[in-house]
Amino acid sequence: MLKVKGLKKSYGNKVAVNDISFEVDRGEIFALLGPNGAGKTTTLKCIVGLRKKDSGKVEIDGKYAYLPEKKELYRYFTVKKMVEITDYYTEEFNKDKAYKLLSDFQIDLKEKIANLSHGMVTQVYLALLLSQNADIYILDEPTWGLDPVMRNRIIEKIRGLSYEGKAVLYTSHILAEVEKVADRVAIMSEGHILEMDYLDVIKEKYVAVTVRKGEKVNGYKWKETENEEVYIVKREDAGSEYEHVGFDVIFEAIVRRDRK
Amino acid sequence: MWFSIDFNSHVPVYKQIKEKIKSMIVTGKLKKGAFVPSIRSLAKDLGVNLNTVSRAYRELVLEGILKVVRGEGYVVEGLDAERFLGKKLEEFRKMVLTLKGDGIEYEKLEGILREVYGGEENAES
Amino acid sequence: MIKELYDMRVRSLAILAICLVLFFTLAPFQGKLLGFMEEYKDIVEKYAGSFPVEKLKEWNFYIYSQWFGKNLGQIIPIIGVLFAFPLFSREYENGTMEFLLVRKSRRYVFLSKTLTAILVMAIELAFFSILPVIYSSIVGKDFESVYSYQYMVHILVGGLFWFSITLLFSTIFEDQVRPLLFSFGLIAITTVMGLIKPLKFLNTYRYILGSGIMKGEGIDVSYTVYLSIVSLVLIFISYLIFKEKDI
Repeated sequence: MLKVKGLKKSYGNKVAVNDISFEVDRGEIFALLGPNGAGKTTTLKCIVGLRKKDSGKVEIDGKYAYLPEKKELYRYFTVKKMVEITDYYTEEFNKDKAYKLLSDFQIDLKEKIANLSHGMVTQVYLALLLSQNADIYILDEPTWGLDPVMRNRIIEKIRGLSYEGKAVLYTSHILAEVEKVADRVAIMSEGHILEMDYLDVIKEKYVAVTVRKGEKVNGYKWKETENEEVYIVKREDAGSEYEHVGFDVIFEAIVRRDRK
Repeated sequence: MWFSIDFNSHVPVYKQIKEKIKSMIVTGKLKKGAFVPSIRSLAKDLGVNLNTVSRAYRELVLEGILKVVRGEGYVVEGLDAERFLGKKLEEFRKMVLTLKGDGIEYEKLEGILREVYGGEENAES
Repeated sequence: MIKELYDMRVRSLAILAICLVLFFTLAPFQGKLLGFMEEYKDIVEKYAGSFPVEKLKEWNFYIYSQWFGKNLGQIIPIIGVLFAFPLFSREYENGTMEFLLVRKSRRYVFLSKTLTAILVMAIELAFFSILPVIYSSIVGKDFESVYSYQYMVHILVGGLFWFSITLLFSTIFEDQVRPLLFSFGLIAITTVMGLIKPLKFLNTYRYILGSGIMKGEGIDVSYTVYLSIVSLVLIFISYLIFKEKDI
């Protein structure tokens, strides 16, 4: 559905995206994770053509819908007018669906966009995207700035998209959320993808081992105590004594290692 | 069908689903020959991804616990209760060893067993 | 296209209003002005220099020198700048360009914005050019209208030229202020530098205020062609810049 091969993008001397490759299939929810500045937003922007990539290939087999990181709409329009404008510009847009979603989200159609809080503008933007019939939905931090109840509803809607056979590529900081809804994840840091696999596989692939200080270990250092060090290693490298750990620990250990 | 899923556990969701279904078979909640919910319907009820239920069912079929009936869905084939329970009993054994090592006396453990099973014994007599 | 029209409503209406005010503080007051000048004859003669003040009694001359040659003529470059400066830079600045470009091609966005703006500007400029003709016929004054249409050509092309200069800045800069400042700066610089004999062609005011037309010389064809070509080239370059820009 979406194929990215060897994507590279620099801004002047700084390499933001350094040879990224991945694929997203129909019906799959793919999460691109990583700390700020990892290159997630630049990757998405290169995919939808807002930024011009330096090299690499992007193949999209179908129509896409995009939610930007900065969720800005036309401030002087009312919500209703924004729906109509979206209808004018967007292919396969369902106005009625949009009105229904906006009402579910309790957004006043007569309100001017400028008077809405940032979270509400995000909700409007999401309502517009969910009313668009695309093959892949590319979302940059879709739940940022939303209250917990709304976040869950959006997660459900995202899952609903995959039920309909659509592909979803999204970025997030919030691991707990990603664990609810991602099929596959890619952990990105400083322009590279450090690890990419099914979330379930990653959870079982890595375990924590405790070793004496100074002992050589093939893995990611996680913690130091007085006499010992804790490493996150692949299970096959772990030997007989190991512990399972949560995804957040695995994520942090992997990302931290690269940042050194 | 619904049961609680812990998304943040180090146990993958598909595994949790597998374990729960096996449990339900062992306790008789799911009888041999009964249909389990369709992938889509279970995914929706639990609030999980289709791929997740897919994988759980796929592995249960490979393990011989579920069977695919063409055009109808997934049906309970059976479960080697002993093997399933065997693992759990092994975990129990490990726990007892740990407690023994901590200095817990046999009588304490016996008391707990009586308490947990006691109610049922009285009901039967 | 409708959204583009809506986006420019404030500035198109403001320009329309301002020009109407400029016209209606001029046209109905010919008599008053002449009376005023009679009263202060000596001062007027001192400052008029070579300007044929007597000829202002003539309606034709009055309109051509004061409307085309002054009130309207002077702000033509400004009108061009005003129509163009926020066209792209505003949407960069408030982040809505992403909304558009994900839905429509770069070519579509560029053309719909540019053509809509040029169309509205051309309609307004044409209207301001014919305004004296309309006014004269309503009020019942004799007016030699042929020059109006010749001025209209100079005005349209002059406006288009400054529009295209500002358009370029608008596609480059991501804030609204810089296209405005740079364009006004260029108006000032080209006008001043045009005082140097060999750089006469830089001063577009010479062309826009069209003193030659009044003398019966007709349209300045070569300069018209020159400005038109430069405008089209600038618009094309703007398109290329917009096409390759990182949003």
